[in-house]
Amino acid sequence: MTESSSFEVEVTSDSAVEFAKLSGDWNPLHTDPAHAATTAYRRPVLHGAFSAALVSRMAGMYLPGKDCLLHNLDLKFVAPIVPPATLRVTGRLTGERHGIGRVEVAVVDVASGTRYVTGTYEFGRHTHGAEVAQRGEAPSSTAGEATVLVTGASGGLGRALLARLGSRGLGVSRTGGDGLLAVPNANALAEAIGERRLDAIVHCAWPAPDNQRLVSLDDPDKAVDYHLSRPLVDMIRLAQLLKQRGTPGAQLALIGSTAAWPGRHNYRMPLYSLAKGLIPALVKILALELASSGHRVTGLIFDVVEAGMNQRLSAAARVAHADRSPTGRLPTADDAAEQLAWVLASPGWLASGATITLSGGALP
Amino acid sequence: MTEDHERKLVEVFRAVLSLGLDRDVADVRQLNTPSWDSLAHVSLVAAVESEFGISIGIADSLSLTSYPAVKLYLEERVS
Amino acid sequence: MTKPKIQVLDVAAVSSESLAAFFSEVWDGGATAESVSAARRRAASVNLAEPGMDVPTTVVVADDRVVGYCSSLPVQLWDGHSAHPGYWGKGLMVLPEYRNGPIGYLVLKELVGRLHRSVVLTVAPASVRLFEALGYSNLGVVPNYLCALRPGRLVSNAPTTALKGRIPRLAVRGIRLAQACGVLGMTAAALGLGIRAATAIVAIPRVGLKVVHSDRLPPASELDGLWHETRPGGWSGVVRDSRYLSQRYEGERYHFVMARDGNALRALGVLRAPRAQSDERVRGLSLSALSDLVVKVGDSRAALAVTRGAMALARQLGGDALLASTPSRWMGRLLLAQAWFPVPGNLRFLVRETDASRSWPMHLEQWWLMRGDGESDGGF
Repeated sequence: MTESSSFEVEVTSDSAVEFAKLSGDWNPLHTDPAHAATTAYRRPVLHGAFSAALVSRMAGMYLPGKDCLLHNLDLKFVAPIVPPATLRVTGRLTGERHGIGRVEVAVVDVASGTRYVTGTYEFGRHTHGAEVAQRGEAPSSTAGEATVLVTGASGGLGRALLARLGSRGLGVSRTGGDGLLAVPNANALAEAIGERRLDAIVHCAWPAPDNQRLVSLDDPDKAVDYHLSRPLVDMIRLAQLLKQRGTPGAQLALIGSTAAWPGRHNYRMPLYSLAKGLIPALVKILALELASSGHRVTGLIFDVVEAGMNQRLSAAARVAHADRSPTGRLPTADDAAEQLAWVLASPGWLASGATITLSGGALP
Repeated sequence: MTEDHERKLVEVFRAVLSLGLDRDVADVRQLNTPSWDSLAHVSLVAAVESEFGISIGIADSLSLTSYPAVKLYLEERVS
Repeated sequence: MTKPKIQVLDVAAVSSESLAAFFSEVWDGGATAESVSAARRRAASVNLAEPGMDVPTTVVVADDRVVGYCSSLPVQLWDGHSAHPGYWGKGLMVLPEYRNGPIGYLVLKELVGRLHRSVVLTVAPASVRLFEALGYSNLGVVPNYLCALRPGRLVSNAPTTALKGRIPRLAVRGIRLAQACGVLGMTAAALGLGIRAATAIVAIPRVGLKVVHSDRLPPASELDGLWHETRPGGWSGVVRDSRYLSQRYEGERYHFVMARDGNALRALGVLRAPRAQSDERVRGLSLSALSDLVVKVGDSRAALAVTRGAMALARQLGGDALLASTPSRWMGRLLLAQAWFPVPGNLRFLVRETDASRSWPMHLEQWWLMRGDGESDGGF
């Protein structure tokens, strides 16, 4: 990656109007020449956030470009931009450690040299397309063929499990792609899987964890619906699906998390913790209800696994989590999938209703 | 981290935790080192602060649970 | 969200709910805010060191969560001449996920700073190091003695069968008991001592004192009288008057053995009722403890009478073995003479005094310590 970069952009009064359409900020200082004429600026001034968008362009297209994950922006609007003007946006990489980079950025008038905006941003990088699972044939709707249904199959754990299951596995995700079946929600699953019978359902799908204290939530109803009610409804629907389509002895595996217990995480994802905390009781209830149809339900609790969102962990956080483990390392998605597969492979019924912790003895 | 800093850090660990020369310090963690108890932890933090001229808050010191963790922490704090 | 905010506080600064949540995690699953508050009020009302004052207790909180705790037990300490308020350092506990970090040190350091005079009995080496680092003098390990009450119940190991028939039966049973204590590490020297003690037992004369046991302590006036009689002697230790004894030992777990000369109370033994041990080292033995003994140092008749009475009572209550701890050489000889076996000690005694005008003995034998001190008779 280059150490510095720049680009130029012409801005006109139309730029402000276009931005107002996009953002909904129709403040007359930006969009009404007659009003602007009565202010100290005399002419409409470009939105400050427009410059922020130019900084976003610097990050997303140049520094670092394609893999950019913008973490934060710290900008000073030093002087107003009064179109028309030609702006030069410059960025200079001041450091990158352990995947986190810092860029000093400025927006300057090409003609006059006036500095309009100064600031910094920090970025990380995301991976993409590196671990497409080696799978068997694309799913086909074959009546009577028993299958292991894996929800959330675009995530690290789901992909790793599908790789182990080969042609037995059927992965579903909200958007599909990569050989996965696109299923927008749990209600649509029964129709999506056609006539298939199910040997097992492994529920890896889950909303991304929350990160707000409960007492700070602006809209608790919405947050609880998203993080608690909907995941619970999904799990109930999967149990219903198993009852209808499960082969004799078929198993539902619900993935829990040590975040449901007290630990150093200090409940930083309270709704996620609450929702995962439902799993042990739910497993017992569903095991009771599904016993009459000869089906099994097990809860499987993992600690931090190097997959999905956890791949964005900083190096320090990664080491801190690894230090909690007696082995000194974080399990990979494949390690977790291997243990999952071991549970699925067992025909025994005694684990039904049980919740098994697969954390390798990690301290809380 | 410079070689000099790394050498200093290794010495601090060996001294505070009474580690023999045969022990690979890079692998040392709270969980696998019996001599790393609460007192040793406080002594280690104090020794690192003194050796590298920094101050480490309690919340930060909670996350210093292994040699790699301390090394990473210093890499971000010490030029 | 950011890193947790860590604070070291007096326990009064945290809510009873937070404290109850901590207790539920580490000790008692049934702790509630009400039970925690009530316990603190009760402790303050019977504070022997500073009557009416809250018992010094410190906590470490991470955001709103109590993650470390340390408390104390108020007592009066006797220096051979007079009594002085002091505290047992007691109840140091840190949540598992925060152990081996700074929390234990911080919470203990804060508490110790508030205790001008304190003593500690502790087992864990990490805990000993912490106390030493905070200015406590380590006086060493309090010797343990074990008495076999029901040899037939004990596990026997092959080597002892080879000895059968060559030494008295009582000794064999005692050796088996010591072996059953596994990791305690019965040494050859102790084995030899045990054999000698077993053969000496018949030589002890009848003591001529009346021995009585009860579930209740004698009246306070008798206890205070006994303390008055026993306290001279140049030794240091907890003031074992009626206030201390009633607060410490009244309850279902304890039984009392009195040795009387006519009506006069000559000695008092406190027996902790036997219970099955989950500790692997004693492999499910039902272990009783001689938690306390109030007797004039040198009054062998009274001491013998009470310990024999305790042994009989412990057997009656179903105990397999009886444990005593004492640094007193005089008391140790008496126990050995009754076929008790020395077993490696595990309790270390530490002392800290901040008043420069006051000093305490630095030799363990100059302290009168028993298993019940510092509530150390709760487990093995």
